[in-house]
Amino acid sequence: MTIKKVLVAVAATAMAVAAQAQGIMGGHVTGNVQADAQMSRADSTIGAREVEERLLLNTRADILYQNGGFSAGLRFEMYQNPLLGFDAEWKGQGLAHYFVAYNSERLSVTVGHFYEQFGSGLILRSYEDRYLGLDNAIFGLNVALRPWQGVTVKALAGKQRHYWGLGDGLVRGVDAEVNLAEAIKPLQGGKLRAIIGAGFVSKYEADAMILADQAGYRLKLPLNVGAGAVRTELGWGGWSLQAEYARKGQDPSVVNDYTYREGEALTATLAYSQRGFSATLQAKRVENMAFKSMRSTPGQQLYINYLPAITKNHTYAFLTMYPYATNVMGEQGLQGNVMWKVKKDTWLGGKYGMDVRLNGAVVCGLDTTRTGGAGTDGYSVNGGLGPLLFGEASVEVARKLSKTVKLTLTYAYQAFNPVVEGELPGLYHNNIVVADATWRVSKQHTLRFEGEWMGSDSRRDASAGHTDPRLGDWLMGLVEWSIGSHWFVSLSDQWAYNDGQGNYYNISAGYTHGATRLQLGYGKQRRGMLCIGGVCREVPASNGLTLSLTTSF
Amino acid sequence: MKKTTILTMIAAALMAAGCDKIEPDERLISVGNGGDSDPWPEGAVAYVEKYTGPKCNNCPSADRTLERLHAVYGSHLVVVSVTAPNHSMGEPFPNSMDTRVSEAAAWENHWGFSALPTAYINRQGTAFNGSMADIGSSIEQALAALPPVKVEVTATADGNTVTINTNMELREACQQGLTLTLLVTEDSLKYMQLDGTGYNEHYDHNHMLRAVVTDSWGKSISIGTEAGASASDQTSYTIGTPAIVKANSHIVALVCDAATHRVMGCAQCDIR
Repeated sequence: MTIKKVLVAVAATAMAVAAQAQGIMGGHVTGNVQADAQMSRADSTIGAREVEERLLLNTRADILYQNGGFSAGLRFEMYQNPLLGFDAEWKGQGLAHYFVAYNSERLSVTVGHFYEQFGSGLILRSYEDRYLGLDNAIFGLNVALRPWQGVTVKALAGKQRHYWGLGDGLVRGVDAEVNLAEAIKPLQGGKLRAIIGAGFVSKYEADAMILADQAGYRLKLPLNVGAGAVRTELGWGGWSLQAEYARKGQDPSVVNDYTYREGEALTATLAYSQRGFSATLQAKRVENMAFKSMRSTPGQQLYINYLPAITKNHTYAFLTMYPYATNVMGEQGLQGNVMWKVKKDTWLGGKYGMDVRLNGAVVCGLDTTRTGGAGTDGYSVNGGLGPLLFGEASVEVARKLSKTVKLTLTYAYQAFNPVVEGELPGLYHNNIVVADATWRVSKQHTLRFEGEWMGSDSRRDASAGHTDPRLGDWLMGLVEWSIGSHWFVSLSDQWAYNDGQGNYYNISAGYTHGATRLQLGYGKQRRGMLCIGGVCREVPASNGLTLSLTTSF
Repeated sequence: MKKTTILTMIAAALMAAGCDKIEPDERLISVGNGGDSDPWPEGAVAYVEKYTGPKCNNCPSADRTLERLHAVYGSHLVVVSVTAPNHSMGEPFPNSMDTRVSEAAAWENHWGFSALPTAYINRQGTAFNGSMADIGSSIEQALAALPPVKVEVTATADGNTVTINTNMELREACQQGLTLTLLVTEDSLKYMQLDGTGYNEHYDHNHMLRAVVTDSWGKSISIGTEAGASASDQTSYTIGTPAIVKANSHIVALVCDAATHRVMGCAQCDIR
């Protein structure tokens, strides 16, 4: 019997016993279900293609049993067939994730699939994001020891999930973290907060036939690739500082065109907060830090590490139209955030107070000189800044105008270099204005109005063959009507003009009852990019119905 | 103290064993060139179907890899470059040559890929993307064993009519239904291509699919099921639209599993 079968049997048996024994043996079972369905028909005006299957469906159900320190979990997934924009390799169904775990004060052990992160993830972060079609869970053994107060040592080994199988690469890692304010008695209960940590991750992958740039030669590959990191978190009163530095050994892969230069990354965040005010300043520099457990796998699958984005996560449509994707091969940037709650009954704050948020971010590439292709170091780094990849400055003001009306106004300026999406270098300059008003008409009825405008200098150049549907200027309107705590209906339209193309209307309605939510929508989806935390996937154009059901128990 | 020592030793062992370093003068290993020292069995052929497009910025790097692979594997490698008909990057530049072939839309829909370039070996298994420098391992695997069907193809031109003769023989017993797909490819097509740092108006496109002589998924063939069973096919192709330069063109014959479309045998010839 394989390890997989044993684990599934143990997890399933534990749940079956638990289900019968709830209230007798103790413990409890929780879970959630999510189903997303999509129908789309051909629409040449937006480039949507006919869905042969008529209905596409992504479904998942998580079941977790916990009893004291013991837990076991299963996840069933079904992609029949995957929604548009998800890799065809997701097609299928089955138990995609299962584990058995024990957790006590001194020891945690997980056998099966698990998610783990060392520090900020520069050398290891296994996680999943269902909206990105990303799951790099590790299947193996994960142990955490807490031998002394304030000290945690983690060790893990396993292979990463790759669609319905496992990647070939073997991942091994150790990490140690010491919380000095807990571990050292004189510091306990003091103002100083201090954490130091260090980790090391190594991957092994068998040899492969990779051609060198030089004709007639293949590469001698490093079969074991290591990455290490040191980090600290310091805090004093309202101030805090987090910093992490990581370095990776030679790791020729499809991402860096099989070059041998070592990688490194540095992130630092300085923050200050007090009642009604907070500010953060972040800095990041990344060079050649794509760390994958299979060197030849393109795209977002099988990343061992994660490089956090330092641009703001937006929710408004036009603010996310040109999202920033982390450039793992090299980037350096700064981001600053200020949040200020203006007190009520002041000249500026008015009767109800006001929230002001300022954000600025700038990300540049590295200034490099190419020195060769596969089998060489690839490039050398010069001292200066590379091209501007993304820049943004935004201000958001939220203010209650009366007991029933709240208004949020946002202005943002964005500079976007399409080279981050694999296009030719350039720079689009976008000015975006958003007005978002919520009117509580009565106890049972709330209306929300959203208007957005984006003026852009991105223009369609027929001679260059531009087909990006985001080009041009845009207007958007949205009305949302919430009825009680159960129902909502929403209407929206995005319209491109001034050299833009497309009219994307949507209507949706939803019903929520307890932990269950059902949403039905119909409309057009523009081809574009969906990015979460700097990790992106392409969203193809579609025209049709969407249905979403989520529930938990 | 004991715990600390044990943990430190584990961490040190992992770090020491966990990282290889290859010096610059040790990074290259010589490989065969498909000549006299040809290490692959006679008759071993790998078919690479590569999807590309003139607006695909990374496709030229894959082209260069495949050209280098030709130098290594010679006639053991058959490459067909397919301009993705449904993909926005497959659209031609204004006033530039359109190499999309409508029959290939069925293949693109079947594979369901979203990125270009994308390539498959023998129409099965892993998709390769980017520069495809890693495709060599899988080609070597494909060449390690002879294909289940031996295929020989010849193409004779009389004016604009090309007569294609295909002979097929089962090397091993085969229960599944088989199809024969005939393709026309052309080299040295010069038209605009996005290439890394800019537009190349005269980019040299090779192995470009120009026509599917049969249906998209080919025509059924009756060959029997026992090892040694054989069949032949004669098909005529009239050169019309697109116009091709015969001297630069080839016929590719694919014998595929009718159910899975896996390539069971492959051959390529010039048009004479």
